[in-house]
Amino acid sequence: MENEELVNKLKECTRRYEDQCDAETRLECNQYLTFHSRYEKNFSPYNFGLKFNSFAKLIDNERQRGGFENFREETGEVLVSENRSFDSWKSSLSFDKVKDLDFVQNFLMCCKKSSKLFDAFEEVDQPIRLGGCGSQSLDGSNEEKNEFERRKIPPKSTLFYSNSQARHDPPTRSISIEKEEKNRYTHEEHPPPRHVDKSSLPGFKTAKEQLLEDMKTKGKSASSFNQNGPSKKSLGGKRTIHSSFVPPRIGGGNDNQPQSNSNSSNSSNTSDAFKELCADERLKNFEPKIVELIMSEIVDKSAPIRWEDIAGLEFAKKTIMEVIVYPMLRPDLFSGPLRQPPKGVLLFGPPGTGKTLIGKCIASQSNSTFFSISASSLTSKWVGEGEKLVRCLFALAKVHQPSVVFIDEIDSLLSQRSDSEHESSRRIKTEFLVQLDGATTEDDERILCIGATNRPQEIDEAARRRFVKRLYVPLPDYPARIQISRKLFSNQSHNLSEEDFENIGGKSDGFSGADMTNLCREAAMGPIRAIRDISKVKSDEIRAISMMDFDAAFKTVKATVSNDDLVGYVKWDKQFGAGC
Amino acid sequence: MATAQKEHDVSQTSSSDEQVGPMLLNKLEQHGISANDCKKLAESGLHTVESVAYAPKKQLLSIKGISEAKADKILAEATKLVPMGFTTASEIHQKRADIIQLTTGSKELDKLLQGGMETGSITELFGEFRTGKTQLCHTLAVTCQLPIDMGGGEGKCLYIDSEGTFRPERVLATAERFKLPGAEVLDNIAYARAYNSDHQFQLLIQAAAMMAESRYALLIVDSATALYRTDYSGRGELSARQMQLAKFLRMLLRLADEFGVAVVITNQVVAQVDGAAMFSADPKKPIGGNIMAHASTTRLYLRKGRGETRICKIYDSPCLPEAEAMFAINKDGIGDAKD
Repeated sequence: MENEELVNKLKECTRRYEDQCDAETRLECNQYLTFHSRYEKNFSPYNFGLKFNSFAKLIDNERQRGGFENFREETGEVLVSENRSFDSWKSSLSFDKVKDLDFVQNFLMCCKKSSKLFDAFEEVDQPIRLGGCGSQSLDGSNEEKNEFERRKIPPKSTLFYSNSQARHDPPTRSISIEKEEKNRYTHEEHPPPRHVDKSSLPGFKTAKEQLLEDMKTKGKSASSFNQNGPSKKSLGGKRTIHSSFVPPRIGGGNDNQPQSNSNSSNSSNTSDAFKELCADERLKNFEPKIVELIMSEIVDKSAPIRWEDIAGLEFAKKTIMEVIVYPMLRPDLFSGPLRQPPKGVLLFGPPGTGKTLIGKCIASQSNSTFFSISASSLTSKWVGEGEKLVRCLFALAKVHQPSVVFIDEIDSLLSQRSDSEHESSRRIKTEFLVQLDGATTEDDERILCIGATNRPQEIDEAARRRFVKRLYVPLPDYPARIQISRKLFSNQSHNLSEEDFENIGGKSDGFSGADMTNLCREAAMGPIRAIRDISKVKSDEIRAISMMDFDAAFKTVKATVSNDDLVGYVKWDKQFGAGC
Repeated sequence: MATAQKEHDVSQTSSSDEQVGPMLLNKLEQHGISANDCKKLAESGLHTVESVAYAPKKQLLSIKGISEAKADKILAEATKLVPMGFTTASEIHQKRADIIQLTTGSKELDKLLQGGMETGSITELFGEFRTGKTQLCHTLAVTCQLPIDMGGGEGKCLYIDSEGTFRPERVLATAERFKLPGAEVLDNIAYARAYNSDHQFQLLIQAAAMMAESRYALLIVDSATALYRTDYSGRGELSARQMQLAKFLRMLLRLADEFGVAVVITNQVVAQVDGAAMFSADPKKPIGGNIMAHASTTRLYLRKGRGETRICKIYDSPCLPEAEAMFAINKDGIGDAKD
């Protein structure tokens, strides 16, 4: 191609690039430039000058889009880092080696003729700047030689290098130059360490880490360091030296007491206790979510039910006192392998007789942590999580000793192990059995497991053996029924005499406690039903409940348990129960 | 001082900056300094615009990769952003009224210091062994986290320990006294053990980086001079030691200016064994010579009283009169002496 043609094409391309600023045009420009320089034998300075101008224009295109500007920054950086020890370094690439190249000769001639070349390079960083070449005129090669040596050739050779990037094989370069370049780069591989390597000497750590380290070296366990009180939730979990300042909550400090003393679940908030416990070593293997799930089952405050509120069931009440209340009152009397309170109590009987009520009573009367568990709290859709929940439950119970785990409708969890059941329920069962009384349980743990069920015959025999005390909670007998009804009517206005109560007691044979309650409710609705105009009546105008209401109620409320059902219970009780 | 005020209510500032705390180097990037340069500045210990503005040009030039032109440009931009000129004394007086002072735990001591340990300046504690320097540092490490209306600084604490006397158990005990959860209090203290004088200096550079990240109220160096005492020995190395010490103290002062933290350093004493002991009142002099003396803003001399009481005397202060106060070292930190 002719020079002029090329030059024109280049000009046109440059103009187009200025308009369009896209990669294609840029590539084209680049091609023209390099094509030009590569194959040009008679390199006229004019073209050379033009080429540099265009190239410079491309490079220093200040516009945001598509300028080679980007490369300028990066090349600048690259070159700057290469010139790290700029002052002390002396290049082995000297003018002598380079001066014989055609390119250089032309370049020198250009330097003399047009100074505007160098305008293009003024803005670029120092390494690329060719000293003060442009401002002075060079005459005589000697001077040039001096100039270049004085100004240290590296800038120029880097210029060569950046051009050669576009070339595939640099025909005009001699091998010596490349070697020089290699030297230059290897020198750069060992930059002097700018700052002390931070990993050589230890830096900062938080005081908590220091404390834990100290404790480890002293041999104390980390659990003796009770993190006082609840800690504020902070995003990002563990706090390091780089985390921001979180002001410590005032009033959040608790007394530094060991866990076994402060176990009253009634006083502390579950979420506070949870945070406290998460620090507890024994729970650190459980995921916090699991721990929280189980912690939510702890009953903090329930309606206070006293032992006297439960009518009848004397044997059951006595046994439970023995099992729970007295050991708490006098732990010294109940120590040792023989007097240890049992770990499991099974309450069985027909529905509505007060098993769950006993559970509630225990929750409010015993000063222990009360876990109220049902099947839903121990199942999860993830495989294996059910067992983990069981394990966590017992671990928490251990931590919160003395504790009571009340499992309602335990036949759903601990039915007979058979072939056809689901694998996950089998696993939960076996985990339960292991935790109740397995290899890792110790004798002095104060965990009591109370189960309530209507179907004792369905309970797995391994579970049966672990529930040492099996108490039959029967239907209320005659005096109990009277007591129930009397208690229910204590707050209501009624004109029932003692006789009436006895009558009611006699008539309600076969009624369970729940049935009695229903009966009384029905009777209490009687006066309300007799009101003619419910919107206008005054509350004290309602008549008192009388025997008539009860008679009417007896017609509608029937016993829920039949004698045949009872037979089954009695038989099981005779075989396995503890009762009289 | 400017920064100590910045850390307080921003609405009170007269400047147009709506920013609390020192400006980070990102601001410089917006004014034309490349990110690469900012990174180099950060690596050599200048993390905020203030530090760059306060640094002499020589220091910037010593950073590899910053040429003279660049240093000029950086300085020009930085000084534009940071007010470094003249203001009236009434403005300064106003600013001083807003200075945060950290309570020391003992009301008597606070009264002596007219409020507590000042932020934005260096306080030096010196005294013999067993006079309570380290205990006071432990108590301050807790009080700096209290909210401002309770006499604290609402910020983290940085503790550089060169003697290995940091005891987190004491911090826990003090935290209990102020009814703060111990774990959180410990989390807010960044602790480092310095093993030699160079390491101590490097820790300061790291500290500067950390202070730019989160809010700090207190920097404790316990003790600042112990390592210098042993790393440099003899008359010959004295000048080297003093120069290094001066650099270290200068860095501390820079941190106090930039970030508005209270800097508390502990110093050891040297006994004068050559006859002057008989005539002068107290034969113990703090070490460090004049370098130390001029660098610290306030100097407190601690000596042992009876039992667990200690007596603190103001040795040098720009605004406090010479007076004494008695405090006690209790189980839960520094407190008032019970007579």
